[in-house]
Amino acid sequence: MRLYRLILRWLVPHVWWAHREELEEMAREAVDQARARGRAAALGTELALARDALRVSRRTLMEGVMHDLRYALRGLSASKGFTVAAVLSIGLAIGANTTIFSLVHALLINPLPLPDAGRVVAVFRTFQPQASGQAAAGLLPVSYPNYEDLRAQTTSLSALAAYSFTQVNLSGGDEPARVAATIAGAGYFEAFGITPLTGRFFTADEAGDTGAHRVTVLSERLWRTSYGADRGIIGRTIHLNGLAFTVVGVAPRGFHGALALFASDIWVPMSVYPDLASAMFRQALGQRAFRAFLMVGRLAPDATVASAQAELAAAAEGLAAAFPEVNRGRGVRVMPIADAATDPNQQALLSRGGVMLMGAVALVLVIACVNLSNLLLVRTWRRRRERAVRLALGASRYRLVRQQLVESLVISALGGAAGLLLARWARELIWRHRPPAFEQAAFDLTLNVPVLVFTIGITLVAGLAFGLVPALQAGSSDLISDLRQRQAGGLVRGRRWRGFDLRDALLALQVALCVVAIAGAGAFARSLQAARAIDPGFDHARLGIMSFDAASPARGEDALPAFFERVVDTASGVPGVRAAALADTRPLGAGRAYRLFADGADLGPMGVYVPFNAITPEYFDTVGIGLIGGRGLTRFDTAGSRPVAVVNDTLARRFWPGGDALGRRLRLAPPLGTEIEIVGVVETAKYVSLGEEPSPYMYLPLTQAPATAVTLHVSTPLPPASVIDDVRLAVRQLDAGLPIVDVREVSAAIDDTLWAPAMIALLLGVFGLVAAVLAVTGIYAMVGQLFNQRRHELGVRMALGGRPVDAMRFIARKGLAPVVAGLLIGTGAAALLLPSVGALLYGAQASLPVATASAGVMGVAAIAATAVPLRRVLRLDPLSALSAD
Amino acid sequence: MADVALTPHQFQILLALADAPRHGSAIARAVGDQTGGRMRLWPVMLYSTLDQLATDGFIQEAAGPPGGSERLRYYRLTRTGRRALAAEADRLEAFAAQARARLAGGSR
Repeated sequence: MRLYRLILRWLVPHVWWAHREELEEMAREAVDQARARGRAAALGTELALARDALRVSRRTLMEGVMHDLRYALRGLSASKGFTVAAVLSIGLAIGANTTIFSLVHALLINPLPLPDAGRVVAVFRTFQPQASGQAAAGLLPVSYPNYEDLRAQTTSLSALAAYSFTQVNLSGGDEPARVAATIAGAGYFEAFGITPLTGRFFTADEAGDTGAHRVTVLSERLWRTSYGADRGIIGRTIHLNGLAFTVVGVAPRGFHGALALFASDIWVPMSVYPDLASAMFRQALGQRAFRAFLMVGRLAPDATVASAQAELAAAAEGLAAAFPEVNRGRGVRVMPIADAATDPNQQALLSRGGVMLMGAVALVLVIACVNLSNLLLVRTWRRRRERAVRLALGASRYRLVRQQLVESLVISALGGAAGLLLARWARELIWRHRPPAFEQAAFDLTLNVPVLVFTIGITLVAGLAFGLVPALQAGSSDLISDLRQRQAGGLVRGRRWRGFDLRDALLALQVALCVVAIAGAGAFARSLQAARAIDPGFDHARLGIMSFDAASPARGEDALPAFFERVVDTASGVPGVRAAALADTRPLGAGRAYRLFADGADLGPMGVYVPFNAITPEYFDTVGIGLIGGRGLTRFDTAGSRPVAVVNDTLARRFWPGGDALGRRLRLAPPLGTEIEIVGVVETAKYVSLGEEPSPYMYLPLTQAPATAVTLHVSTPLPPASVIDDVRLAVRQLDAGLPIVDVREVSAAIDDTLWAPAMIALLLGVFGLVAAVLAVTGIYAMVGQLFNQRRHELGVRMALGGRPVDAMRFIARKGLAPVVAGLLIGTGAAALLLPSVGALLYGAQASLPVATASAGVMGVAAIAATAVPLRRVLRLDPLSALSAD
Repeated sequence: MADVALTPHQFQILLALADAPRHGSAIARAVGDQTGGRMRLWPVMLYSTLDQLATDGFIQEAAGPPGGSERLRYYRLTRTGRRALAAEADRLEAFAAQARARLAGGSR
């Protein structure tokens, strides 16, 4: 019975208080009657009584909330200015969070939409460095013979496929296009567990590595954009690199292979690998030392990643024992496919970037919530009389609290809807300006369930967060003073009204958060500046580039050197071009590497990996890399002449400290085994990223390290943008079927590598600014409020002989105290937090100066905001203040 | 006065008060009897409905019968309540007639 009383008091207080005794008596009677029929009946009755209370309370709650909802909507539409400001500020914050989350979700959490992605794994080779100076351990591709052995020995994977990727020229349309292609071995589609959208995938026969079956599967995106989603595509012929292929199927929508950043639109079987691979790679299928393939597998029904890892690791050891020359020190790594979707070697950095971005927008949301809380507190303060009347007429405090909370949730919900719209627009914008690294990617950024759930979640949390304090405020009204709408005991000094203590604290918090945001933006902006000031080692300001793949059956490999010479000569001849050259690696782009040994240098039993750029002789002059010793490359360094190389001075110093590199010999590791003589040494430049440490690098003649996919570099004293298009047209005239891509200025390309810090700085800056504006208006409002509140008191002081200056000082001190507190807290917090984001900053950023500067900015703004209301003090007329209400 | 439909609980309670004023548990008993045991009014449902009916003006507190207990609160039907009850009875009758007509026609 006591429990029953409790339940009723809590669930249906209004009924309880009106009919206490009757309810108890009726309940007791019912239970007694039931007890006569047995304990089970008594229990049943007790449960029924509880259900009865629940049912009525639920209905009452529903009606009450509906009423509160209508009341809130009425109140909000009555003060449109406030509502618009509130919805906008929370909408901006929610929109930002939704945008970042959907990007993070698409890129990091779920980059590959696959059915049952948990069963799909990526398999890599690993390399344990055996001596210093060797390339760092990482995740590596596999060679085809090693792959075949691994596949034969595994039972924990129901499918294990090798694949490679390349770019092919797709012709047949008006403009030839460059398309990303995956060369897929047997078991590829089975490993992913997908079914074709239309048509079929490769048969077991076709998927093998013999027979040169010229069949192809298209991606849904390519099928839709280039062939109008015509089902008649099956059986038709398209031309890849000039060769005829028959289309047999279309992959399901959203499937673009295993690499999220390299979205494939074409799949061909492994048997055509020799047709599409460049000369160097053609022999790869039979070479155990030629690591050119990636692997994807599917876990057998009873296997786990761990069990597959163990089994394959054992198999790898067997391979190392059987073929020590090429396999010693090499292991295997099995991981879920999602972890390898972006560059697995970069995953940690990307994750950290993602976390940072989410932290930044979370900060923005907190700022918006604090600001909104402040605004709502003012609003509840203004409506205190109305609430007092309701209280006097019998409303319960709980009701007042609930009504205020409902109003907050309505604001939050409206903001959430606005945020979703904003996020849609922002996502498009950010994606359109993505860096070239993401150019090939095909992420699904449309609104999906996880993003929607996330948005609804933060909308609710935000609404509760900023609504809680005003709601509690609403429930704690002091009846008498509120009815009189005047501060009780106006003459009594020191009586701090609960609401305004809280407001001070909130204001201080807001100011602190603004300081942190602005400091963050400042730090990133400075780091961007520092990054831009880094000398990449080549003449980036006057360089333009464009890329193409010269592979074509019409032009044999032997004709390539002559063709390249013609391209360079043509480009050099374009008016405005000072010099031009070809290289197989773009500036700060990814290129090839050789494992090699060096005469007179101890590089360990496995040698070292040295990245290289295959160039035409004009390269150093074109890009502005200085020659330190020896000679550059010339047109006499051909395929038939002695193999030569030019190295950078970092390599020279590392391999032969104190000695001279000129004339020394490098020996490529088996199976190539080539001996190369060093004929020149050049300055060290940046090869991968602006922040990298000096590392060894070498340059080989393009004739001796052939490639078909090359980048044309042109140097011009004019702004490169004005010249590169002319160059492109001139080169097109040499071969109309040549798709020329990525035509841009090198300075723009370098800027793109700074995409992440730039984006973060921009976001933090924009939102820090918005937050600062909100905070400043909050300060202005608060000081004005303070003045109004204390007008009476100030009037008294001045009537008693006080000076306006004293009054000003009084108001300023009270008004600025929370601001100063916020500045101090914010400076401290920023100084503590900034070092932890150091990984994404170029160059060490001294955090304290940045934090202090940011606090200074906020401080000035705050003082300015206080100044205007203070002027009112000067004009205060004591008489009117004394009679003020 | 607009004719607003009564909920089944409200209807039965008004019905129970149609002939004489009653107090809480007596109303519940009467409702049980007049519905043949099909509707059982539990305490909270009973009293919250009574409060709602009082707010709507259909019932009001009344003096108990002479000699009855002091602490029991009696309720009686108001004129408005009586009208509402009659209107609802008419409505239900019309529905029932329509239902019977349709069912009879369908079985032909």
